[in-house]
Amino acid sequence: MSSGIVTAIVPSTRSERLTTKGLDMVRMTRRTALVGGLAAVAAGGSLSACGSSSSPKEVQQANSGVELPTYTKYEGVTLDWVGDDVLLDGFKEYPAEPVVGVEEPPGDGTPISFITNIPGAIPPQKESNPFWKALEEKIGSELQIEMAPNADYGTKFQTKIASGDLPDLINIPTTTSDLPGLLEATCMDLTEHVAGDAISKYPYLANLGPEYWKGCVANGAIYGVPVPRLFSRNFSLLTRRDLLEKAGIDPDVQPETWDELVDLCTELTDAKGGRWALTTMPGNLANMAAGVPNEWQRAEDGTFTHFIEHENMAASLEAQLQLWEAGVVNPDAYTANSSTKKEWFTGGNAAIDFDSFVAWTQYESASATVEDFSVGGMVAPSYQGAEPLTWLGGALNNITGFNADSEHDVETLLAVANWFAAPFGTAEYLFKKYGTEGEQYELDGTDPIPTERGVLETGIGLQYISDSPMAYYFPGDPGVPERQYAVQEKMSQNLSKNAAYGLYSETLDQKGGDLTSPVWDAMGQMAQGKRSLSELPDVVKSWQEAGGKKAAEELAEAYEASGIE
Amino acid sequence: MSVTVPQDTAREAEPPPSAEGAGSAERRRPGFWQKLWRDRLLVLFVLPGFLVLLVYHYYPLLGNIIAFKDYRPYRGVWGSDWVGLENFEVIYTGDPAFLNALTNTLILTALQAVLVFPAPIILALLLNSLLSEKIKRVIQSILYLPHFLSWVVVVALFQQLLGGSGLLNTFLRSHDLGAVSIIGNGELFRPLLLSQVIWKDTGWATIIFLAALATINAELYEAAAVDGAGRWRQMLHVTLPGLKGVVILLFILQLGTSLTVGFEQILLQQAAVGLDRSEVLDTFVYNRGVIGGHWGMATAVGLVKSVVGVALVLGANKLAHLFGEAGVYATKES
Amino acid sequence: MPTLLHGQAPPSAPERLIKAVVFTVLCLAVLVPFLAVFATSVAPREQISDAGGLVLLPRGIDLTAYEAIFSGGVVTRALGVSIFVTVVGTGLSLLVSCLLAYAISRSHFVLARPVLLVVLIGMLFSPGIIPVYLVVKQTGLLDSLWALIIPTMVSGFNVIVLRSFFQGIPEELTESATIDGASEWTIFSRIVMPLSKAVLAVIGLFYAVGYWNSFFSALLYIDDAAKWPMQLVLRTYVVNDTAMGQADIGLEQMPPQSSLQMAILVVSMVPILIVYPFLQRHFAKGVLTGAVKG
Repeated sequence: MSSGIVTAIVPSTRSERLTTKGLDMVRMTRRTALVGGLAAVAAGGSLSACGSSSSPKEVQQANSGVELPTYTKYEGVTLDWVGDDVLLDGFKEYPAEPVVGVEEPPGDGTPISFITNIPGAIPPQKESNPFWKALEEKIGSELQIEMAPNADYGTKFQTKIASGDLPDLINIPTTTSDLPGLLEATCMDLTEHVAGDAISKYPYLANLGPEYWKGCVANGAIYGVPVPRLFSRNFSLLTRRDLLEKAGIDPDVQPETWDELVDLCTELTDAKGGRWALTTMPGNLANMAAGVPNEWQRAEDGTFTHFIEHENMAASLEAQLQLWEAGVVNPDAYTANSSTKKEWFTGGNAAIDFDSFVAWTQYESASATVEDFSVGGMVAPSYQGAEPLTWLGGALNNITGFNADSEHDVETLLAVANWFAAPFGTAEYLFKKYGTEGEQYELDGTDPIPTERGVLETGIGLQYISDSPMAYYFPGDPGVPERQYAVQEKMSQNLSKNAAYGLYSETLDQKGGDLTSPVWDAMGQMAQGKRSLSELPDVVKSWQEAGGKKAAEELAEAYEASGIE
Repeated sequence: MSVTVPQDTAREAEPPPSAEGAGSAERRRPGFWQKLWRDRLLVLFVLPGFLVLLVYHYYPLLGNIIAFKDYRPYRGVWGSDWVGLENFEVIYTGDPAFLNALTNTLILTALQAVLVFPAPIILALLLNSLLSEKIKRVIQSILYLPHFLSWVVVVALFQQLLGGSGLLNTFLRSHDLGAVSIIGNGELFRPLLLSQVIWKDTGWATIIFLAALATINAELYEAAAVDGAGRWRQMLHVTLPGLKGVVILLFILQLGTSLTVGFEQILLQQAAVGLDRSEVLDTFVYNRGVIGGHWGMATAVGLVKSVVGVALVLGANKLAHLFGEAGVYATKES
Repeated sequence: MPTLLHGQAPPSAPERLIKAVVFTVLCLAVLVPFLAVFATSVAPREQISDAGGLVLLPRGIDLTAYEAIFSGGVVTRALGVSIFVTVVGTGLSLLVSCLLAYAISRSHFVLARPVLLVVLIGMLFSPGIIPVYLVVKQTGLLDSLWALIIPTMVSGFNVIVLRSFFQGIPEELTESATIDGASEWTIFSRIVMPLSKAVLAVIGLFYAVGYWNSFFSALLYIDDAAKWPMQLVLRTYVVNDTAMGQADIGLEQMPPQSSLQMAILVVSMVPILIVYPFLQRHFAKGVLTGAVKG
C-alpha cells in the first residue's frame, strides 16, 4: 500500500522529493508473481464502521497468500527495444499495421460512469466531442466522465467519498489517507477474478507486472486495477544537448563523479548573463549519488530504516551544498514555481533540469518546432567514491476502483479496464490515445500526429481508467527513444527499491505531514547553507521521536505478517 | 437581548396589549411579542437572508464536530471514531513548531493592523484631495487592478522582478553591481509579505472608504468653510470624523479573521526562507495534516481560530464603546 | 466628493507636485506589472522562452494563447454560465442582503440585535466543505446552477457593512416618513435605498466579483463540465504546481504556460474592467447633498 507519505500540490522544489514519496516498491525479485501476503493492517485498520474489531495479527493471517495476477507479457507487437515487467519497451516508430487485440466491445450497453482528474485543458463535452462518441461505440457502452482540474481533484474526490455518490469507476489517488480502509469500504473485491491465472481472461491487464498490482492490495484482497508508472517516473538529469554542444561539450556526456558534474555545471553557468546550469536543486540526485537508498530499507534482521537515517545522508547534503555554493543552481530555485522552471529549461536559461522520462518526452514534443532542441539524460554520478543508485519511481499514478454499489457486472468492468490497458502498437491504443485518422490525427509515415482538434478532444482522462506502462517513443524522431532506452539501461544496473511499498503504517498515513515537514524544511535550508549540516543528527532524532521510530516498527510488523520470504 | 431605547415616540403611544401580552406589568410599554407583531414586515425582510444563512451556513457548522473525531470520509461523520480533544493536542502540548507558527501569525497580524490596514484609508484621503474628478477615477481604476491577480501570479511577478534571477538582479549583475538578495532572504521576508499585500489589495480596499467619504454630507464641508476652516482643518473636523465609523467597523470585523494571514501567499514562498520564519497557523495545519486529508486537526485549529476571533471582535467592540464609539452593534444615538 | 474649494486657496504648487509624484509612482507600480501580464499573453513563444517567463514589451502579437483558450467553444459557453450566475446572483444577493440589513438597522426592531449578533458571530465560524456539500445535496441543488448562487447568497460581512451605512442615514428623514404613516417598505424603497447608492455600488461590486471569481462551488457541486463557470474551466489550463513528471499533461500543442496563464488572467478580468466604470461614479460622488431638504 502507499506508505502514506505526503504528496500534494506544494512548491515545486519539494515536488521531486515528493514524487519519490510515492515510491512504493517492495524489494523482491522481479520475476516473482506470487506474493505471500501484503498490506497488513496496522492498529487503525477499518474493518468495520465502528473501528477495528479484529486484531492486526488476525487480519494479517488473512493476507498471507494473496496471489497476484500472473504476469504475461503481451507479445502481439514487435518491439525495437524490449522491456520486462519493470523495464519499459521502446519503439522507433508506430507499427504500420496496429494489431486489433480485442474483438468484442467490452461494454454491456448500459452507461458506465467514471470520475477523474483531467490531464490538461477541459475538453469539449460529449455532445460536441466526436472522439468521445466514437469511443463509446468502440467500447459498446456510454461513458460518462465527471471531470475535475488536476489541482482540485483531491478535494473533489474526498467530497464524493464523503457524500457516497460514487460512479462505477473511481480514480483513487495513491496518496489518499487510510487507503486500505477506503478501498475495502468502497470498492469491489476483484481477487477471484484476477488472481493468479484468472487474469488470463484479460490479456492486457495480465501485461501489467506484479509490481503494479501490489499497490492494489489491501486487507487480503485486490481492490482495484493499477494505472502504472514505475520506471517512467525515474528521475534523471535532463540536459539540453544542443546547449551542451554549443558550449563545446559532448552532448551525451555522463559525469562519473560529482566533482565532474559540478565542473560541467560551472561551464554551463553564466551568472552575469542570467544563465545558471540547473533549474532546481536535485536533492534526490544527491541522495542517489551518495548511495542513499530509496525511502525505506529492510535490514537482514527485519528492522526498517528510513533514508534520512542513513549514514550517507550527510554526504548527500554536502553534495547539494557543494552545488549551491558553486553558484550553478538558479538562485530562485526554491521560490520559482514549476512552470517557470520549465520555461527556464525550454528557453535556454538553464541547461539542466531534474525530472522524469515523462517530462523528457513532454519537453521534446512541446519544443518539436524549435530548431536543434534536443534532450538527453544523465544518471547519478558517484559522490566521493560512493556507489550511486537509481531510485525506482512510484509504481502507480492511481488505483482504479470499481464501485461496490455499481450495477455493472465485475466482469464487464474488468473487460472495459482491459480494453483501456491496451499496450503501445495495438489498434485500441492508437484509438484511445490518438483517435480516428483524419479527424484527431494525421499520419506522418506511420506515426500519428495529433491535430489541434485531436489534442482537445482526446483529453478526457481515459489514461486514468487503466493504461499500459509507458513505451519509449517519439513520432518522427527515433533518436529520442534510443537515448531514453540507453539511460534506462544504465539505471537498470543499480535500481533501489522502496521496501515499504505495499506495506501500510498507520503512523505514516496519519502523521506523514508531521514527520516530513520539519525534515524537508531543515534539509532545504542546509542545502542552501542557511543552516549548519551539524544539525542533521538532531533533525533525525526529532523525526524519530515524532513518529519515525514507530513507523519503522509498524512497517517491520507489517512485513512480518505479510509472510513474504 | 435587551432592546435599545426606541426613538420614535410615535410608536410609544400605541394602545397597551390585551390578552395576548407576554409580560404582566406591561400596561404602557408593549411587550416583546407586541413589538414583533408591530414590526412583522421587518420579520419578513429578515426571513429570506436568514433562512439562507441558517440552511447553508449554520446548519453545516454542526459538522465541525469532526474536530473531535478521527474523521474518515468513507465512514461519514457519525461513523468516525470519537477522539475527544486529541486533535487539539497540538495546541496545548506546547509543540515548538506550533508555537512558532502561532508567534509568526500574531506578529504578522499586528504588523498588518498597523501597516496594512491604514494604507487604503490614507490612499482614499489622498485621492479625495484631488481636484479633478476624472483623474481621481482613472487613478483609482488603475490601482484596484492587482486585486484580481491570484497569489500564484503575484508571487511569480515579484520573483521575476526581484528574485535572484529576476530583472533587477540581472540588471545589476550585467553592470557589475553585485546582486541583492530580496526573495529568499529571511530577514526581508516579513517586509516582503507586507509589501505584496499592500501592492495587491490597497487599491481595492479604498473602494469602501471612498464610498464612506461619498456619504459625508457636503453641507458639513460648507459649514466648516463658512467657519473659516482651511483644507487641513476641514479634513480634521469633517472628513476624519465622517470616516471614523466605517474605519472602526471594518477594523473590528477584520479582527475576527485576523489569525488568517495570507495562506496561499506564504505557502508559495516558504521553501526559500524556511518554516522558522514563514510558518503561520494555516500553513502549519496544511503542512501537517490537510494534505493527507486529515480533517480533524484542520477543523480543530479552525474552531480555535474562530473562537479567538469572536473574543477579539466582542472585546474590540466593547473597547469601542468605552471610547464612545458605535462599534459594530451598539445602535447609534443620534 | 465635494470639491475643496469652499473658500480656501487651491493646493499649493509643491503640494500638487508631491501628489503628482506619489500617484505617478503608485500607478506605475501597478501598471508596469500589468503591462507585463498583457504583453506576455501576446508575446511570441521564443521571446517568452528567452526572457524566462515574463515579457515587458512584446516583439510581435501572437494570439495562440487566446486561441487555445477559446477553441472548442468550451470557454465561451462557460462565459455564458458565469454571466448568468453573476448577474442573477448579484441581484438576489443585493436584494436579500439589503432587506436583512435594513431590518436590523431599525433600532426599534426587537430582533435587530439578536439577528445582528447571530450574523456577526456566525460569520466568524466556517462550516466544513463536506457538511455544506451534504446540505446542498439534501436541498436538491446538486448539478444545478443554483448551487452556485444560493449557498453563498448572503455574506455576513456585507450585511453588517450595509447595516452600518443604513444607520448613517439621518434619522430626521426616516422619522418624518414614519410620522407621515409610511410603512417600513416605503421607507426602505423610497428613502433608504435611493440614498444608499454609494454603498450599494460597493457591495454590489463585492458580490459580483465574488460570483465572477468563484470556482470552488462549481468544482464540488457540478459534475457536468458543460455547466462549469469560466473560472473553473480556466483552472484546467494551468499546470498545477507539481513537477512535470507527476502530471501527465499533454502539452504538445499548448502555448507556453506563461502566456496561457496571462491570457487567462486577461480574459477573466476584462468583463470586470468593463463594468467597473459604471459603478465607480456611484461611490465617487456625494449623494447626501440636499437630501435633508428633500
